Amino acid sequence: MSGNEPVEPTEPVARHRRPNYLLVFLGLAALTAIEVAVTYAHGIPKAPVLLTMSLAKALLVIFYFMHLRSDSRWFSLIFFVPFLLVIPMLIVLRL
Amino acid sequence: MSENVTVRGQSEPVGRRLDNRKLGMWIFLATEVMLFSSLIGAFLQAKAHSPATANDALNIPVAAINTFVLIVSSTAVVMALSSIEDGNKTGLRNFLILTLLLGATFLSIQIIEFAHLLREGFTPSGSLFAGAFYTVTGFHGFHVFIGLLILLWLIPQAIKGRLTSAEHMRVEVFGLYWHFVDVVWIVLFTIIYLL
Repeated sequence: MSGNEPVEPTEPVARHRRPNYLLVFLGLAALTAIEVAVTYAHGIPKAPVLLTMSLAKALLVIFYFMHLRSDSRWFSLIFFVPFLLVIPMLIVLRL
Repeated sequence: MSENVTVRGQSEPVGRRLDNRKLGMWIFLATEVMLFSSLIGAFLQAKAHSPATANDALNIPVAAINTFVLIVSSTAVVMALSSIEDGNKTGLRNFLILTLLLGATFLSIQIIEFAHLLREGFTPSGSLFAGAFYTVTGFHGFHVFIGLLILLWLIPQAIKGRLTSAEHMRVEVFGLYWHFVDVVWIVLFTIIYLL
């Protein structure tokens, strides 16, 4: 190899550490079913419960399906930094 | 291998290299976070200034089914990625086609829901809540539609065997986009339909 000669990668840049995708799917499906059940239930503080479950579902997808848990920290930084602006904005707007 | 190797014009140690396509997609998704957050913020404002019964016209079971469809489609995409990483081209093709069918199902259900709501008098100009509802869900639906177009570009490549285990990044980058669309719907489902 001469040093700067362009070469095609012969193997994936980084093979993902694979979580149990079926388990993640089952978790997402179960949380969705519980969310719907909570909506029709009485005597439960719906907003905090539903928002917590929604956040859990979103994080399951982000960390396991999008592989952010095992991928480069740079991707996490790029993706999560906007939330530092967004969350205060949403809180202010909701109030 | 500690020497620097030039791969597609970049000279960096191989083990520490970030793929440009993936990096670009994450930056794009960060901008999408801002975009959808603005829309969600506008929706929350509209909802706060609407009667508590404003979302009574919406059909929760149908939206729940659509949520389930999108979750299954996300699972299909990770299975497609796993398949191509293992060099299983048949698995890749089948899971991408399944994703296409599920995405089309989601969009079809949404269009039918919109048509039903419009017939019931729940029109975009009818109320602040309705206008915000169609804006947010319509914009999300447009993202699903773009995802379907990308799939229509990827699937023929998968069928012809052009996507190899070494060239799986196209599937991975598409997957990031599709999963993000799923995440947005997960949030919208709760905020719009359930709360």
